[in-house]
Amino acid sequence: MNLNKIILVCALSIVAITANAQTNDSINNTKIESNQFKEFFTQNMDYQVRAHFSIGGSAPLGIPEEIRSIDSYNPGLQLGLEANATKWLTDDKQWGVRLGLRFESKGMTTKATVKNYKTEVIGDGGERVKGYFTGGVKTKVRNTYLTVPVSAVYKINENWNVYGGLYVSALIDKTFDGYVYDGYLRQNTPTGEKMLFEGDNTAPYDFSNEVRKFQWGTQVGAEWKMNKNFFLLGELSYGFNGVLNKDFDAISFSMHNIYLNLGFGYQF
Amino acid sequence: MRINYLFFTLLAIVGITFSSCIKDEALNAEADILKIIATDSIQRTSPKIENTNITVYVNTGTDLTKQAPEFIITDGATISPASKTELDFTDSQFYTVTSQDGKWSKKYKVTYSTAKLPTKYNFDNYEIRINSDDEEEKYFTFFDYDEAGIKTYPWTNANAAFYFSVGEDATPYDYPTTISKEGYDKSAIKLTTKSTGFFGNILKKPIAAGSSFIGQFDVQQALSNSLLAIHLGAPFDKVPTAITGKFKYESGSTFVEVINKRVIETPGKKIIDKFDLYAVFFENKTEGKNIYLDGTNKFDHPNIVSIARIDPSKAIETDSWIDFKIPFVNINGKSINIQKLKSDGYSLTIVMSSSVDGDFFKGALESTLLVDDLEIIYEKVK
Repeated sequence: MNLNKIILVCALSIVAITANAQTNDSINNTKIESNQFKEFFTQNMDYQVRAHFSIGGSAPLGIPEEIRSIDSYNPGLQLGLEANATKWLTDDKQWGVRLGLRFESKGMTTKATVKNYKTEVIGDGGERVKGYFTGGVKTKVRNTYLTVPVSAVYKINENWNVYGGLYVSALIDKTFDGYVYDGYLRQNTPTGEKMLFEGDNTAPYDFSNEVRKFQWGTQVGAEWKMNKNFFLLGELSYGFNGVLNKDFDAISFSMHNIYLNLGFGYQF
Repeated sequence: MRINYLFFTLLAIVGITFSSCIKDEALNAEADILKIIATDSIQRTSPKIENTNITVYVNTGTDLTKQAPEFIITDGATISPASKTELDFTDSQFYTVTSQDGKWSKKYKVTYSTAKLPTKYNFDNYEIRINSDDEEEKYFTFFDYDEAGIKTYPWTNANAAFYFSVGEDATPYDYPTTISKEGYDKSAIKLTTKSTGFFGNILKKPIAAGSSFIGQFDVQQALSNSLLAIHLGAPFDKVPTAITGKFKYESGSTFVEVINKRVIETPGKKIIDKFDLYAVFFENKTEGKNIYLDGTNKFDHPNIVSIARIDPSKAIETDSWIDFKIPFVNINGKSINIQKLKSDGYSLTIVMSSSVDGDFFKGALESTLLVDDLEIIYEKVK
C-alpha cells in the first residue's frame, strides 16, 4: 500500500473523530465550543506513559538459503519509552483510538555461518570490494527511532485491552556493522579469485549509512491491568519496509525490523 | 495465571515469525579446478593453477599431441571436455567447468609448456592478459621468450591480492608491480611500496611492497599466511654464477610498520627504506617430491646451493641508473650433480622488492625500485 495513503488515512481518522465531536453540537457558540474542546481531552480520554525492552532482530522474512546456521544471538538491551493518549469512542470505553509518541532502540548482535553470501565491502577511502563470502559473519545492529504509533484499542474486560495499528518511525541514530571471519571471499562472482580469511584476519563492514531513515509498520499488543494505574504490556511490531535502503544491494535479501516489546506502564 | 496466557501467546507469535527454519543447503555455486593430474614422467615441476589458467611444465621433446590430464574439481561441478579426455596440447586447450547449481561457469586455459627459464630480461615485453572468460586482468604481466623462442611468463607478483586495497577502480599503474616507460632502454619493471588502504590497516598489513619473483603466488593465502603465499623457484638447468643489471631507487618519506599490533607511521623521511634484490639456487626435490622455497625459509632451507643477494650498503638511493653485479655465494657446501642438473633437479628464483622488509609489511610508502636489463650469468656445463 502507498505510504502517503496510510498517513492520510491516519490523519483523516483523527480529524473525523474531532469533527464528529464538534458536529454533535449545532449551537455556534465559542464558549461551548471551547468547552467541547476541553471535554474532548478530559472525557473518555486516557493517558499513559510506558517503558519497554525489546527482543527481536533485523531479520529476513524466512531465512534465505545463504544462511546456513545462526551461531549466536544476543538481543542486547533495547529500551523504549512512550507517552500516548486514548480517545474512547463511547462512554462504555469499548473501542478507542490511540496516538502515541515513542523513543525506542531496536537492535541485536548475531553470528551466522553463510555460504555464497553476496556482499560488498566499502573502505573509508571508497575502495569497493564485491564478492561472495562463505564463512562466518558477525552483525551488530543498534538503531534508535522516534516513532508515532496509531492504534485501535479494544477493551475485552476490566483487566484486558488489546490494540493494533500502524506506526511511522524516523531514524535518529544508527549502527549496522560487523565483520566476516574464518572463510573465504570470491571476488565479484562465485568463480572469481579466492581469498582466505583465517585466524586473526577478519574483514569489517559498515552499512550504517545505508540504514533507512524512515520506517513504517504495524503493531499488535495487549495490556493487563495490575491495578487502577499500573499495567503490563506485550506488543509485537513488524516493519513493512526493509531496515536498509532499497537500492543497497550488498545484501541480497531484505531485512525487516521484527520485535517483541515487553514492559509496563502507568495510566493516569 | 492470565499473564501466562498472554506471555505464551506472544511467544507463540514470535516463534511463528522466526520459525522460518534454515532452508536446505543451496547447490555449490563454485566451479574450480582444484588439481590437475598429468603424466608424472613428463613433468619438470608442479603444475601452476591460477584462477583461470593452468600451466603444466613438461620436458622438451614431450609428445604433446596425445595428453589426457585428469582434473579434480569443486564438488558437484562438471567439466567439459571430460576429465581424462585425450587432446592435442600443441596449442592450449580450453575447459569449461560448470557449477553444481548450473548458474556459474568458468573457462580454464590449460597449457603444456616446454618453455625454459630465460636468462635475459629487458622488461620490454608486458601485456594485460585476457583471462579465458574474456575479461581483462587489472594489471600488467611481463612475459619473455626462452632460448627456443617459446613465450613464457616467468615473473609473478602479489598484484592479485592488492585488489583488496584498491578495489574495482584502479588502473594497472596503481598496482605495486607495474611498468615504467622510463627504463634504461625502453621500459623497465617498476616496483612501488603502496599503502594497502583501509583493509590493509584493519588486517595489520598496512603496506604492500612492490615485488616480482620467479615462482608462483598463492593468492588464497595472501591475507592469512602471506609468507607461505610466495612459492619461489622454477627449474633451471644451468649453474648460475651472478646476476647483473641496472637499478634506480628512491626511498619513500613515510615509513610504516606494525609494532605491538599497532600501525606506526614515521613521516619526514626519518627512516630511509632499502630495497632487496636476490637470487637463490636450490635442489628442487626432497626424497623425490618437488619442493619450492617460501617466505619462511628462502635463505635457510637445507636444499639451498647458493645465494646472490645485494649488499645492503649498495642498495642505496640514486637518481641515475646504477649497474650491479651480484655473485652467487655457495652455502651448505653443496656441489653440483650434473645428472641432476640436466634432469631439472635444481631451481632458481630471483626476487626484487621495493622494501627489504616488505614480507613483514614494513617499508616507506612510495619507495620505488626500477630494474632493467637483468641477466643471469651462468657456467656452461657440458
